[in-house]
Amino acid sequence: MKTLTPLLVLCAAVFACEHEPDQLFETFVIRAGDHYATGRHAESLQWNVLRFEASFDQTAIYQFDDAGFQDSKNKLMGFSDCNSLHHQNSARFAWQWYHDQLEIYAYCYVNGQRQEAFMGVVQPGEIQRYEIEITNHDYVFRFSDKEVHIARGSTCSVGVYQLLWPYFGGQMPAPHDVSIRIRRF
Amino acid sequence: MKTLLLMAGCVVGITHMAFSQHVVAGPVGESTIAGVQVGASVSYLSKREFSLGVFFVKSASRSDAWSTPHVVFYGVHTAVPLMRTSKIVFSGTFRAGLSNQQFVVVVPGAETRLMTNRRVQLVSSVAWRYGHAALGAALLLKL
Repeated sequence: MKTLTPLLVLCAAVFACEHEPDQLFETFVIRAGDHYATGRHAESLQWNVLRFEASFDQTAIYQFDDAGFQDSKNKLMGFSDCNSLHHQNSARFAWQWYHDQLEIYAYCYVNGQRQEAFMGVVQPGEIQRYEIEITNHDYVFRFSDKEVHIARGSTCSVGVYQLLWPYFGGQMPAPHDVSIRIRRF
Repeated sequence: MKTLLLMAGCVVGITHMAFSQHVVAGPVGESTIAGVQVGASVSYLSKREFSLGVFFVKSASRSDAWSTPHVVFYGVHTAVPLMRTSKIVFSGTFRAGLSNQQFVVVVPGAETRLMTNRRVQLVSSVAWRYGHAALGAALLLKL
């Protein structure tokens, strides 16, 4: 009994915890003049689906003086494929403020070649669901009832699939602070 | 699974040659953001409470917060004592292994090991899993 008591207390403390979904949103801020967001951490994918909700706010609206940069894709979230660098094999959602709307893209590197596919439009303030599934042969992007398949490059199957966090650019850094809320689930 | 058994063999062999001490084994459990995972671990403990072993956990329940598939996670773990008394050892821990037989995962953490008697040890741990803190517990028996 002397042994059991601390064990029971320990188990109760450990397994009684439950997170509230609303508390799980993380806010990533890309400071003016920067590319990388605050709040990033080293983490790898642990199963074959990356699923998250994200919401942008008014800070996602921007205009570059040089309009040629306006269609540069900013990265939302994704992962590098098995033991690859992200410019070699990776799959991410990307976004841009273009034509006065916030456009979402599937954005991949496949054997070093960039591939993009338009997925849809999201409103600032709107929470949308995003999903990337890895199959043996392709990445499956799901956003707003739309599904896009992009073939994977030649890569391994067992290895590190590094998570990739919000990044502004392209070449141009954030013109002002940009805030993005993300909740993985 | 073959890989895990091979790793277990290597761990046992190497540690036995390096610092032959007692073996501890028992059930482990961890409450993560993705749900509760339970399993077992076997490890060698050195005289100075360094630990090296293997573990295996799988999903026992799902979390409402994460729509996670069934998770199987196995690999090797090590603990390096940072502070210790005759009854309690506080250690930094590190786990590395495969999740769902495909994804390489490393998990840093810390644990407190309480020697309740000569044969039984209670372990409480905290680790960083899925980008969130995870709490663990284990009941280890000296073999």
